[in-house]
Amino acid sequence: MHEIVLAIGFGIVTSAILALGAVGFSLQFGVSNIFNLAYGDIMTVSAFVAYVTNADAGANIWVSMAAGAAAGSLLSVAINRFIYTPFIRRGTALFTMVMVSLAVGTVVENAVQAIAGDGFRGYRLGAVKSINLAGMSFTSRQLIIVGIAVVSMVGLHVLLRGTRVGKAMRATATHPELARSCGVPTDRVTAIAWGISGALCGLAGVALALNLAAFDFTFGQSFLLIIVAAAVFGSVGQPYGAMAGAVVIGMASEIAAVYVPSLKEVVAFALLVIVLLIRPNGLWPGAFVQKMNVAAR
Amino acid sequence: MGPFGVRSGRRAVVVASAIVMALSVAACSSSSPKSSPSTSSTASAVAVAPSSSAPTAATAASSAASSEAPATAAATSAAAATGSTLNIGVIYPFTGSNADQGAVGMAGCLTGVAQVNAAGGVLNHKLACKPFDTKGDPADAVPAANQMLASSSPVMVIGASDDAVATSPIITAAKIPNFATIGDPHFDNQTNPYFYRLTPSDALQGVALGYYAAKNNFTKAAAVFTSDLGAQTSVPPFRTEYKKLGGTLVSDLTLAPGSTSYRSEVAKVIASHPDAVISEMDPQSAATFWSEYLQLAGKLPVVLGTERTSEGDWITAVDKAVGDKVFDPAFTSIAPYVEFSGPGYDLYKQYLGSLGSQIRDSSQYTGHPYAISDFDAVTITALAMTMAKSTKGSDYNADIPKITAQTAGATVVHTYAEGLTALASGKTIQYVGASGPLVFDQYQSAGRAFAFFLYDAPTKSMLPKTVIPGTALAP
Repeated sequence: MHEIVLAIGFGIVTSAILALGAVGFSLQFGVSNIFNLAYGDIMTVSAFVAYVTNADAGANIWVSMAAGAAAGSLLSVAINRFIYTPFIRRGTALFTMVMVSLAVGTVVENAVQAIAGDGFRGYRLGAVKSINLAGMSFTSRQLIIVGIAVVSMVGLHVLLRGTRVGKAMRATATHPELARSCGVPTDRVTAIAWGISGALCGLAGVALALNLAAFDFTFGQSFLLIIVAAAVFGSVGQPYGAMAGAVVIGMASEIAAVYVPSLKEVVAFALLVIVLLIRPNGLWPGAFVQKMNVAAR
Repeated sequence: MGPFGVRSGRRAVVVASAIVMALSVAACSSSSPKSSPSTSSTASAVAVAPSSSAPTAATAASSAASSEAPATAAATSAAAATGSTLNIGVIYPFTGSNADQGAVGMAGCLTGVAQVNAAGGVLNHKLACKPFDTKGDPADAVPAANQMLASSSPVMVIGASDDAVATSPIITAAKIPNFATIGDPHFDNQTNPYFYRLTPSDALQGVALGYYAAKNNFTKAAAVFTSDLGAQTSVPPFRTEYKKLGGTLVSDLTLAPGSTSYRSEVAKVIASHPDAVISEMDPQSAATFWSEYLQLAGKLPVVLGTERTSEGDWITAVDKAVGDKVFDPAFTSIAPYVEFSGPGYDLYKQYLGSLGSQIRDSSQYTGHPYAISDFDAVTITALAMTMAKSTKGSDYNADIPKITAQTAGATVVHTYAEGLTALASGKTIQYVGASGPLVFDQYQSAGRAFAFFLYDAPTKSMLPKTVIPGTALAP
C-alpha cells in the first residue's frame, strides 16, 4: 500500500510535466489544425536555452526556466509564421503538414546537435531534501514544477473562458473563416495561440530536463510520443482533455511501475488504445474533429 | 461543444496517420535507446560526419574533410605509398543517443590508419577511414551498409555494434572481413568466416559480474537492467553465476529505457535494502534513475556496472546528474581488460595524440578498450594483406587468424612496422598489439579477460584495478 501511495505522488509530478507538454501540443493542434511533430525538438531548444542561462550565465533555475519558455514561445511563433503559414495558405493537406513538421523537427534537432554537440548537460542545482506529504515523497523543486503546471492550466482556463482573446481563439479553432468574417483577426489570434503553446512547450522542456537530471540534443523528441499520447488520450485539440490525458497516463505508468516496471509504458499505451476503442474521439466530450485539409487563413 | 468546437471530417484517419508518423519518429529516433550497447561509446563526438542513406547538411561538409587524412605526426622512415587509397568502412551510429559509438570506431580506425600509413601503407596503398551512419537502428543500418559497399568499396569494415546483426550478413556476403565489437551471445558460435569479434561475449560479462559480486561479499544484490537487448544479454548468466556462488538477489528489476521517471522503481530497490546494485542502463535512463535514487535514499549504494558504465558518455551523463562527490565512490564496473601498457599500447597512444582535429578530445580514448581493439583490427588486417600479398578480402581473410595465433616459433611483433620487417624476412609472426593478445577461437571471437574498474576522477574514466582470472569464469 505504501508503494502505491508513493507511486501516486510520483505520478503527480510526472502528470504535471506531461500536462504542460500535452496542453501546449493540443493548443497548437486545436487552433491551427497542425499535428506539430517538431514540438519535441522545440522542447529541446528550450531546455538548452535554460541550460545556457543557468550553467553558463549563472542564473537561478527558475529564471532559466522562464528564459526557456520565452525561447520556446519565440521559436514556435517563428516556425508557424514563416514555415507553416505559407503552406496553410496554399491549402496544403493535413498529412502533408505533418511531413513538413517532421522536416522542421529534423532540422531543429540537427541544428541543436551542430551547435551544442552530442554530450549530456545538467543544470546547476542546489541540493534539495525530500518532503513527505501524506505518505508521498516530493522535493521542493518537484512541488514548484507541479505548482507551475497548475498555475499554467488555471491561467489557460481563465484565458480561454474569461478573456476576449480566449474567445477569439475558440472561435478561430471552431471555424476560422466564420471567425474572420465576424471581424476576428485570426492571424494575430493564431500567433498568440502559438506563442502561448510555445511557452508551455518551453516550460515542459525545462521541467522534463530537470526531471531527467541529464539531457542531450535528442531528449525532447524521444518524449514526444508520450506527450502526443496524453494529448490524443484526452481528445487532441482539447486542452482540458490533454490535462486529463496527462494525469491518466502519468498516474497509470507510475502505478504500473510498482508491479511491472518494464511494461509501465505499455500499460499507459494500452489504456490509450482501450479508451480510443470506446471513445474514438478521445476521453473528453465534444472532441475536436479535423478536416482533411488545413483551413486557409 | 468544447472550447474548440466540433467539426465534421475524417478526423480519425488524420489523427491515426499522425500517430503512426509519431511512432515512426520515435522508433527511428535514437534518443530512446533500443539497446544499451555492449559496444563502447563516449560522450564527445568525433569531428567527422558519416555518410548515411540520408546525410544531413551539417555533417556532409566535415565528412569529406576529416575521414581521410593520415596522422600528422610520427615516423616517416618508410617509403611513401604511391598506389590508390584503400577504404576502411566504419559503420556505427554517428547520430542519435549512441553517436559516441561512431566516435569510438573512428578513433580506433584513424589511429590504426595513421600507424599503417606512416610505415608506408599496405602494398603501396594508403588507407583511409570512411564513416557510415546506422543511426542505431537496423532499419537504417541496412541501407547504410549497402551504401558503404556501393560508394566506398571497403577492403575491411569495422562495426557495427548491435546493428551488426543486420549489417554483417551484407558485408560478409561481399567477402569483406568485418571486425565488430559486439557482445551479443548470438555471435558466440557464429561460423561466418569473414566475421571477427573483438570483444568477449556479454554472456561472459554476466558471469564476471556474478563472480565478482559474490566473491567480494555483496551477498544481497539488486539487479537493475533496462529491457533492451544490449543490457539483457548479460542478465541470465549473471543470475546463474551469482546464485551459484551463494548470492541472493533481493530485487530484480527490468526497466523500460528512456522513461520520464523511475521513482516507483527506485522505491522498490531501496525497499529491498541491497548491499550493491548490479546494473546496465543507457546514459539517459541511468542519469534519471540514479538522480532519483539519490533524492529518495539520500545516498547511492555501491553500483557494479558493465562495460557500458565505463564509457565516456555514460560517465558524463550520470556525473552531471548526481555530482562528482557522489559519483566517485559509488560507481564501478566490470569490463574487458586491456593492460594499457606495452609497446603496442604506447604506439596507439602516440598516434592517438597525433590525430589533432580529426578527433574531438582524443584523450578520452586513451583507455577505451574498443577504440584500442579497432586500432589493432586495422593493424591485423594490414599485416594479413601483406602476408597474402593482396588487398582483396577473399585472398587475405584466411591469414587474419594466423597473424595473432600463438604459433610455436613465431616472432612476436607489437607494431605494424615490426610485423612488416618480420614478414619481409620470411618469419612467422604473432601480433600482440595495443590491446594485448587477440587470439581468435574457432568462432573467430577474440577471448579477453575481464577486470574490475574504479572511477578515476582526474581522467574522468574507469581504470582497471583487479583482473578477474579467466579460469574463474570458465564453465
